[in-house]
Parts: sequence; C-alpha cells; structure tokens
Amino acid sequence: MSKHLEIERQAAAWLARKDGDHWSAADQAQLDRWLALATAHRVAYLRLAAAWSKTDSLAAGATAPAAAPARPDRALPRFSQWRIAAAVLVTVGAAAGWSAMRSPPPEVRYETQLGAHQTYALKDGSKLTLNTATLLRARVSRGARTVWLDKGEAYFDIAHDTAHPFVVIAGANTITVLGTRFTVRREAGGTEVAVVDGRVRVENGQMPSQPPVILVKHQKVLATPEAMRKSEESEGAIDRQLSWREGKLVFDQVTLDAAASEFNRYNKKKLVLADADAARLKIGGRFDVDNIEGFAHLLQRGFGLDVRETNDAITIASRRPPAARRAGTTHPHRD
Amino acid sequence: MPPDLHEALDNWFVQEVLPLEPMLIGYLRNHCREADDIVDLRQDVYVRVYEAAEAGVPANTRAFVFAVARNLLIDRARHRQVAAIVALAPSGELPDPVDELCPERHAMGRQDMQCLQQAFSDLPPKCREVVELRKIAGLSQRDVAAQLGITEGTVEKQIAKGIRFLAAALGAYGSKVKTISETGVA
Repeated sequence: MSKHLEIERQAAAWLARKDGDHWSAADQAQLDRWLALATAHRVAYLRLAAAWSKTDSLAAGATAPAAAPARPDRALPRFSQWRIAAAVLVTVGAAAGWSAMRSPPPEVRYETQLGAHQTYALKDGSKLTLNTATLLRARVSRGARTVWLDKGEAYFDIAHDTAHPFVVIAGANTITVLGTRFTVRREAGGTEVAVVDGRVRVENGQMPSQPPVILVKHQKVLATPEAMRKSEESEGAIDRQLSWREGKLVFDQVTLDAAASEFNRYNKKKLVLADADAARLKIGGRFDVDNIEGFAHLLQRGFGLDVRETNDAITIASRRPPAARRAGTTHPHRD
Repeated sequence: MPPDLHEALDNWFVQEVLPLEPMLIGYLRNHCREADDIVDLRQDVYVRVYEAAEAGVPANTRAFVFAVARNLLIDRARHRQVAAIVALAPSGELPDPVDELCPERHAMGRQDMQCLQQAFSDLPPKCREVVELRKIAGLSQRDVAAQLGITEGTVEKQIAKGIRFLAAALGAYGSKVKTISETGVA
C-alpha cells in the first residue's frame, strides 16, 4: 500500500474519532502531535476534514430549490422515493435498521407573507398552519419527520406515529412529539411552545445542562438563552393564543402595549404608543388581524385616546393636557 | 511554526488549494500513465505546496500549484527515466492552467453539491446509512449507534470510510477519474 493511502486511513480515523462523542483534550493533544509530525499528515487531514464539513451543506438544504413563496400545489413533491429514519431517540431493531433508510426526504420550504396565514398538509398526515411572516422548512416523509421553524409562528397538528417522533427545530430549541397539537413561536425574546393536546418535549440547546421540559395539555414554556419558563394556562388562554388561525386576534385584559405588538406582527402599518399611560391600558376584544384602523378607531371612541394616522404608522397617545391641545393636537372625537 | 500561522495556512490550503483538486487530478492523469500513482502524486503536490507556503503564501495559488505539479512530474520522470513522460512535460508545451481553469472553478459550487449527492448515493449501503444519520439527520455517533443497534466503534469505522469516499468523490468530479477505486478506499 502506498505511503499516502496509509496516511489517509489514519487521517480518516482521527476525523471519525473527533466526530464522535468521546473526544477529550488528551485526544486533541495527540492529534496535534500527529499533525505536526509530517506535512503529509496535515494535508491529508485537511483534505478529508474539508470534504466532511462540505457534507454539512447537504444537510443544511443547500440542494433545495431556490427560495420561493411556497404554493400549496407544490408543497408535496416526490416524497415517496425518499425514506430516512431521521427521528431522534427512536430505537429501531438492528435487523430493520440497515434497511430503514435510503436518502433523506427533500426539503420543502413554506413561507407566508406579512399578515397572511396558511395551512398545509404534510405527507405523514400532519397539518401545519403558518402564521404571519413565517418561514418553515420541512423534511417529512412517512419514515422521518423533521421541520425547522426559521422564523415566525406555526401551529402543528401532528399525526400520531410512535415509531417516528416529529421534531421541530426552532433555533437552539428542539421540540419532539409523537402525535399532538401545539404551537411554536419564535421571537427576539425567545421561543414559546404551547400545547393544545398531547405531550411535547422541549430541549434548549443553549442550556445543554438543563434537562428537557415535558409539556402536557395547556402548558407552555418560554425558552430563552438563559432560562426555560414553564407555565400553566387555561384552555381559554390557549384558544385565544390560537385565534390567528381564523385571522383573529383575541385579547382578554391585556395591555395595549402587548395588543399593539400583536397587531404589528401582521401589518405593515404599525401601531405606536406615544406614552406609558396609554401603553398600560388594559383592553379586551376580538379583532381581525388586519383591521388595525378599526382597532385604533375603537381606542379613540371607547377610551378617548388621541389617534394620529400617517402612511406607515398609527400613533396612540393618552389625552393630552390642555396646553398640548391648544397647540393643535385636538381631534374630532375628544370629550 | 506558531499555531496561528498554521491556522492561516490551513485556511488558505482548504479554501484555495483543495478546490483545485479535480483539475489537478485531471492534469496529473494527462501526464502520468500509471493511474495507481495519481493519489501519491496528488498528495506529494499538496505536501510541496504546503511546505513552500510556510515560507510565504504565493500570490497566484493556481499557477503555483500547477507549477509544483509540473516540477514534480519532471522530477519523477527523470528519476524513473521514463522518456515518454519527459517528452510530455517540457514547460513550454504545458497548457496554462490559470486561464484554462477559471470558468470551471467558477461553476464548482453547484457542481460540488451535485457531486456530493451522487457521492452519497454511491456510498456502500451500511456506510451510507451511518453517514446520513450522522450528517443529514444530525444524530450524534452515540445516537446513530443506538438507532441502528450497532456499537459506537462500528459507527466510527463507517464514518472514517465515508469521509474517504466523499473526499475522493469531490476530488474526482470533473476529472473523469474513477478516483474511488483508484484511491483504494473500497
């Protein structure tokens, strides 16, 4: 055997070991010594390492068609030729194992525009509904069920399949289920998971030492880089949280501040609260997600708030002191 | 050599030199009759290129790599006194790889992906199962072992094999070389 082939074998063995779960500082030191021993070692190792890391781009979906808004009629391409046992924590018998997998199912992108929501059926019988401005990628077939929630919010109605957990990856958080209904929402402040029915496991990749959180019906968790905050919700609260699926926002004694930021998720024209008094007001009601003008009108009439509208914003302020009104901030509906 | 210099050189080698591999293999094949030697020649080129770059990274990597390859072929031919190869290798008659390779290199990103996909489907079945679970499903080696009911040692061996196959496939692309069999991975 040639000198270089033997070196290549050794380099591959190092890389495979480093890729495993038992790599230690002592191993690294040993590898460093091996690399320093001969340039032939180093170049062989670099060559294999580069090829190995290139395969990450396959997993990352670099082979998927160029990003385009998902169309329902294109949402279910040729799944049948693909099978992969991609699910986490499934134990498949050794005999079945070798034949359980071929190529991975292709990645399908689902995307909604601002203010839209859309329901899709997946190959495994599950349904998912995307809320406003959401991007989700799915690799789903009968044998493997993984989706990535890249941004926004989605409701999952997952077909029961104990052999193949459904895995939702939302940034650093991994949500694993067998069959259930739940929502996942990604925001700057963290990822929120709320369970309508069934049982869901949430792992926070940013807190590897933290054990997974198990959620059951009407529980939710907010996963941030620093914490996993679990809470119990009433059925009504969960229903309200899901009203976007009918294009509605339902508030029950929430602050105007919170209501405004909900509306702002769906509309180009933004609600802006000019002062803390207005932001603290508690409101309730049921609104169409895109009816920001109607909502503002109600605030004006029902709460006597000062409402000013421009092309891209509606600014809401508490009633101004008389001095301000004399300066020309009156509006027709003030008391 | 200080570690940070190594790191810079390693990056240069991975980003500038390794992408030339399909062309390099094609070039070596055109000037070397014995297919079995291609892998050794390729690695000798890499060693010379890396060691020369330790003294200073060349301004034109492509021209440099192919100059090294040409010199190596000439040395080898002289050493073996193989007249046929010497006749093929005078510097004046070699194609200028710089101009020749530009458009191909440009298109390589997409081809790499197609090549990788092809390489995946060409992996031996057991090896492919392990590599796909590890890389595409993103399972750890431990979880791959648990899922397939095999030991972590077996997973590691299959990964090592897969790495060599994939590297060979990437290098073979565009060079019309059946590199996998020639590199003796199988």
